[in-house]
Amino acid sequence: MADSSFFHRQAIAHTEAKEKLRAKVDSLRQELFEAEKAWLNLEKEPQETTHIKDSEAVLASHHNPHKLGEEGEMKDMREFKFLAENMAQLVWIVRTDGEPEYFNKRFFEYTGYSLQALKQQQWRQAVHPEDLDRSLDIWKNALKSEILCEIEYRLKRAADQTYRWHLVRSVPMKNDAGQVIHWISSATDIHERKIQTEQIEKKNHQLNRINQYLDDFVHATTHDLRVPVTRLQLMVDTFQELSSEQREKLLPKIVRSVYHLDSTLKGLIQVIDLQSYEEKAEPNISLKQTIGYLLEQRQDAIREAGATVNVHEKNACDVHYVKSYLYTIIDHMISNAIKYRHTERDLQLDIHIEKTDDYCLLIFEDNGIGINLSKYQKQLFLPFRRISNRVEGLGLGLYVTQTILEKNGGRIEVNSQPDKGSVFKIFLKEYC
Amino acid sequence: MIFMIDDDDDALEIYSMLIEKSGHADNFITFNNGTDALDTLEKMHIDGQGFPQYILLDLNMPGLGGVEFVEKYEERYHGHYPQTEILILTSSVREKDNEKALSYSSVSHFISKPLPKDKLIEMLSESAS
Repeated sequence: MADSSFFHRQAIAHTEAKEKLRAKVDSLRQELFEAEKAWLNLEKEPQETTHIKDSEAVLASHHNPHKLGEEGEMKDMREFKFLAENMAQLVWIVRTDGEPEYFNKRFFEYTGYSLQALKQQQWRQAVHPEDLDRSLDIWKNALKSEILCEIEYRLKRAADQTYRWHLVRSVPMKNDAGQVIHWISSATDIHERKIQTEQIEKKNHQLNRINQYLDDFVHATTHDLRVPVTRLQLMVDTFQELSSEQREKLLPKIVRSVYHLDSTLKGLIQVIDLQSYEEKAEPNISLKQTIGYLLEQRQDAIREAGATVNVHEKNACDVHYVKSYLYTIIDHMISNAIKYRHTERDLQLDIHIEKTDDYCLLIFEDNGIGINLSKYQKQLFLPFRRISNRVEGLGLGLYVTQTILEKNGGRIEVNSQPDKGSVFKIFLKEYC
Repeated sequence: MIFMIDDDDDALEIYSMLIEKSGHADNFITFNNGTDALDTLEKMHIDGQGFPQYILLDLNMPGLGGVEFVEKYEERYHGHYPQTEILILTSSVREKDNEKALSYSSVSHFISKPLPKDKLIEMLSESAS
């Protein structure tokens, strides 16, 4: 059995060992703490170390020193770093004067810029030129007003040099006194959503336009159908009261009203067919030859109008287009020039053909009666609208022409002066 | 006196036929466009020949439309001849067109086409008395 001094020696030895162990543990803790600090500072390549240090400074300035000690701050910094470096978003911190202080790893990867380049404001080159001024204005206002701001702009991705839409959210970070000390910003890639939203907005806009168009179309059509109907109604209602001589005068009017009704209905069917027609575009249709053919078809009317028609081909223009559409457009233009010619002079019609980057351009320039555009611009392209009752017609030509052109992204423009003449520009967008 | 302004020449001719024997033919003047009607009103105004009691006006006309006619009419004549009423003849089935026309102080009613012959003769008798 061991004596008491043995136990005493054992107890002393145990206490000493415990103290040594505690000292060792403390030493290891200190090493670990130093290692953590070193890891935070030195893990990155030199240029990025700077921004990590900056982030520490930012965090340190944000922390309440009364609540957290240095170890707590380190822990927060480590967590911030871990969070920021592993986020899918681009994260950066700027000072209140707008100077950048920290960018996360994703920012460097995405933009391809070094910290030095970013600090030299080269990040501006990553923003789409069309978005830069707008974004800077919003950002400057946010700096001034010290409130959170959200901006959507396009940022260039270094990997494929494409611009992608981002939602950039910048939040002011305030100290206990309520003063802004830094701004933390994040950019979230919203490209797909943005494109989808744009497509939906475009569709909505188109739908609204179609609704408006349908409203105008229905109104114009019902009006034009009701005109001959009400006239017939009047004639039928009063027929019994008229003398035989008056009835004889009335008969051709009844016939004319019936024909008017019939041609309005035919026009309506033509318009409906146009909407549902399945396009079959053909390549290499010569505009010059098509115009030549259609002028030949209209030669009697051209002769009767005493018209001189010249075709000017600036450069050869063969189009990929729906042949029947092309015929309709050109024929309407020639027919309108003849119909709306000036009564006091022979018609002079110049047709210009020109190939541009995006369109095949057809210009019809005449010396006809012209149009007062300040009055009639709005109704010029509505169905069943005529600017003069001097000529026969349903008032569908320009409406049909515009509808065909707009089906695949083309358009029509008009410039005109009353009593001098009109210039119609037809922008044919080729079918792919 | 009644003015009827309508681009439908056939309808104008029929109305003229219908009132031939009513004894009011001289008081019924037709125009197939608003510009000619304004020219005649201007002459009447300058000559001091009096003014029509009713102007029957079509809204949808090529050239000077019905609403433009009313605007020009109000600007120049309505202050001088507040008793003259414009009645809109319409083939339109769209309420908002009629509402817009009725917002002008010179416009008293709108009448859906066709205007019955009896109504026209009644108006002519009223204007003659």
